Amino acid sequence: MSARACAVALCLTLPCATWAWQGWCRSTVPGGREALGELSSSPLLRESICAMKKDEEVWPSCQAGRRAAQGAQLGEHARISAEAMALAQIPSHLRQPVDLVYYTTGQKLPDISSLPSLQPAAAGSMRERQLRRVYLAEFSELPDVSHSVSDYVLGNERCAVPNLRSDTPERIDSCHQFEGHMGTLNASHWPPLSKAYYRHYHELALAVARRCAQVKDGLKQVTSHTLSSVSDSIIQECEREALALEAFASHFLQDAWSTGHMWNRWGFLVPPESDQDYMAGFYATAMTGIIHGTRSVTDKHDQACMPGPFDRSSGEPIIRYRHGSDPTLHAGGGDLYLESCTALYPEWSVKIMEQLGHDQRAGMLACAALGFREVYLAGPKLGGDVLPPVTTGYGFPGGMPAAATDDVCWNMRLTNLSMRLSLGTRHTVIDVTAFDLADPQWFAGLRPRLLVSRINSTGREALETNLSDYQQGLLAEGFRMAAVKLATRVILAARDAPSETTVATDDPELESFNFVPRSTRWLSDVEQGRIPLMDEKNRDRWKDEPTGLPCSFDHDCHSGHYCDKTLVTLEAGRLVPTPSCVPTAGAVLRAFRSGEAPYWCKADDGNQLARAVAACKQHGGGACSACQEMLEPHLRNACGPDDFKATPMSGQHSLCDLMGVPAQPVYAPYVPGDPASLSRVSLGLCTGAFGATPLTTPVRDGTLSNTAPPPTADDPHGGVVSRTSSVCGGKPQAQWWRFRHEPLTAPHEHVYAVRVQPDSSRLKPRASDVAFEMFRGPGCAETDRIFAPQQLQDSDGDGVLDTILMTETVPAGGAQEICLRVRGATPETYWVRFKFAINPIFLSQ
Amino acid sequence: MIRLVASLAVALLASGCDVLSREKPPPAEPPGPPPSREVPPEIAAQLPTTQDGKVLFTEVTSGGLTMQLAYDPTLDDPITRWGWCLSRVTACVTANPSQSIIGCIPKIEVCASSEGGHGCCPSACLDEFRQAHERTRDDRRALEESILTGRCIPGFPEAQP
Repeated sequence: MSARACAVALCLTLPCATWAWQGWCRSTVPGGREALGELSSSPLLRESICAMKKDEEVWPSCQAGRRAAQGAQLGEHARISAEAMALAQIPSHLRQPVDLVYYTTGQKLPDISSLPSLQPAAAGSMRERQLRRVYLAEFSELPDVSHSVSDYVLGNERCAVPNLRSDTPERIDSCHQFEGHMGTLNASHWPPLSKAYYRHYHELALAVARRCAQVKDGLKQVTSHTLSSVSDSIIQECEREALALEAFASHFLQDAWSTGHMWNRWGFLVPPESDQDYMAGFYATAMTGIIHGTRSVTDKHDQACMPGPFDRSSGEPIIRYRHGSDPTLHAGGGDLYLESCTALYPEWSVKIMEQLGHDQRAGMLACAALGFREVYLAGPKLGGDVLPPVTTGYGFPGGMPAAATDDVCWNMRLTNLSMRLSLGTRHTVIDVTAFDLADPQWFAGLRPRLLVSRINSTGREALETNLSDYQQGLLAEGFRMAAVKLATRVILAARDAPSETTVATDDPELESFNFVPRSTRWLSDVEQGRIPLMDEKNRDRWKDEPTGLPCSFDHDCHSGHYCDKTLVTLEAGRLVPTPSCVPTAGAVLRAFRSGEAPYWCKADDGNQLARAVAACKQHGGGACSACQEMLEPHLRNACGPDDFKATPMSGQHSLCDLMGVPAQPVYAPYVPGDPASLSRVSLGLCTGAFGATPLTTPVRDGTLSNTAPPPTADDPHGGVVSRTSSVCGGKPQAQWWRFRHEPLTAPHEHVYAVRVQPDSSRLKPRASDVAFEMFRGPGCAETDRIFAPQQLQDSDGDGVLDTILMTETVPAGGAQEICLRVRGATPETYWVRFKFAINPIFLSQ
Repeated sequence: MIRLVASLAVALLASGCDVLSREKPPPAEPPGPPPSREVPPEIAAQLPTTQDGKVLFTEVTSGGLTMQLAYDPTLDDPITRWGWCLSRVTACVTANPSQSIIGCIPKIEVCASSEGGHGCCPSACLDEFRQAHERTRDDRRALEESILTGRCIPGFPEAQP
């Protein structure tokens, strides 16, 4: 291999190479993500972009595929979104890194033992708390990294792309690599599909935002409730989810403003079943790359995305676009030329061009800002109800658009002259006369050569085995002929109507390239949500319900589903793996579990909760935390249905009740106003601290029934007085014992001792849970109290609380009566065993 | 009298009669010289090459396959001959940025062979274009109906995009 060929091969191994505003996946951010600040003005983000691939030591990159889902998505899209959010004045708490918190199985990737699986696990398999710290703006990089939001939250570990195999890790990675299959399938990043994709995700974002606002309204009554902190976090995460979806959507809007994307390309959105069709799409992708430019993979400058060099005679930029029929010509640039540091010549950057009066960047930011603004204002507006209007210096035809979906944010198309330059001009060296590839002679003389690389990772072996040399020859000939025709037509269009946009839009002779149609063909499919790679269009249909179809791999499942191997069922008390196909949207619900609380209130039925409890008892640790978080929203502060008061002010409602969602109730008392008590009780229910009673069985009412000194007395020397009791529902609870000491002939010592021990080994009683008081006198009245309520000590930390209440010398003489009162300090104190004895040695009995 | 002649000319043109243009093609700039079959050396020096030394214009990898678009100056088949002819036609377009190429077409080199060759067009292609242009009065439509179909190149593939 020659040195030059080696150089190309190296370029082709660049991480995250895409045709879009360029992103770089970084496996490490110096100083941590927090050091990136709010991103929009972060010098570190700019440094990351400027570093490109050259500064690998400081900014180590991650490979596309599963590794990319674990990295930081920093690049031009993230920068644009961060700036757009700042322009829209989205509150700063949403511009800080946020944590995506959910549970995984805790397993490592099968072939990369250093990396954890990020796939959100199903109930019963949730064992390790996963924290993915991301900026919402990073979601704007994701359409180049993952096929959908659900794909990303699944860690790019699944491949739910139709007609691709997914049975090896290599194939899973290939599914997510631009040079794997994403390049052929990214027609969605070109108009008019880009607008349809944006609208799809923008409307999802709005739907989530509106639901968040509804949840917030429903939870207004809990401002002073124990659940207020929990409900706050639900609304916060819900708002983040909405804006994360908008950031994902914004990628497509931003691409529409990259000059390399201002034309309607040819291509597919889903791999065709036929290998021949797939290959034809591959050739159409090659031509797309020639027009768009392939700097991201070949490191060679090209024209469509590169604002310079400017026309030598006029000094003016020569790549221009128009908004629809508006005659104004705008100069612009695209991928890899956003910042001056990546443009080689600073003035060839979109940023600097803005300062020269070419305000493409301002227009793009304004449209993106409108999208973020609309979603924020549709939501709970946690940072304030009002945002100032978005303003821009960009000359939108007809004035500032009202919404990001307005046509003026989308109808930019390259002029015929710019399309001709894009097709032909190949800059090999700066300031050297460019080579004009558009001459039909060059295209006709091409020998498209197919090299089989990484044959085992394609997932499409049929491409190599089924396509004959003859078929491949036809495809190659077809490419040459199509390219020659294209060049001829574009050259003529550029001469006859240089300022028109027919080549980029609707020239009838350019409706297909080598039998591959313009992607406009798939517009109605996208609009109607029929593209299985996309997240489900109708937010109300998002669900996490197994279809029941057994599976081993994703390709065993119908489109829009993946094979979830984390599913388990509970059989005779044991968790049994039951892999089945699950809608991909279910992964998003799992990853945003807190924000999606209304969904989970309904979905987490008795079976789901029982699986979580079983997992907690079996595995402990993270499985118990997961169970606790699942169970908490269902918890009603009552002993049972009879004790539950459905009035708004009762304070007994579960979070699900407060959100107005029908849900499986779980009854257990906790301390009103004490979130820690709520968590403790939820955890106790998971660990079995309250016995093996099924969760769905209400806790029985308290058994501390002696609320006054009993009329009859016990013999204090009769041995240990013991009782297993519960306190439930926050009622006043007390247990009295009365002891009568017969007249003594001689004084002797009494040691009054108590022991409190749990009725289960899991939930330890706390010293503050119970209080003991002693009274002396015939009436055991309050005035006869010997000492104030006394708290217990767990001196050795074993969960058993022993205390010597009092030591006294009982004098000889008349009879004495003493009373002991035990009071539950907190209503969650139940299922504990009280013991009282005159002599501590009896406590062990 | 002058007005009568002018009116006649306008009427002839409006009726689609091509007597005037057929008799005398409008003046036009000739096409620039044909490019060499080889990629210019100063360009080739900047481009990568394949293992067998061909200049690589670009390459695309997808689905585990890599497609190289390498230029082969020795390739000679009906498609390259068709491309060579269209290269001359587009050279006419470039040389005549604001007028029809019909006047430039006669200035294109006619190949010695009816099968075509480098830097020229078979006479059948040029004749076909002229006839189409007479019908359409439009460079683009005329090309679509003539040379772009490939019919004037012997052996040109029948199945084409």
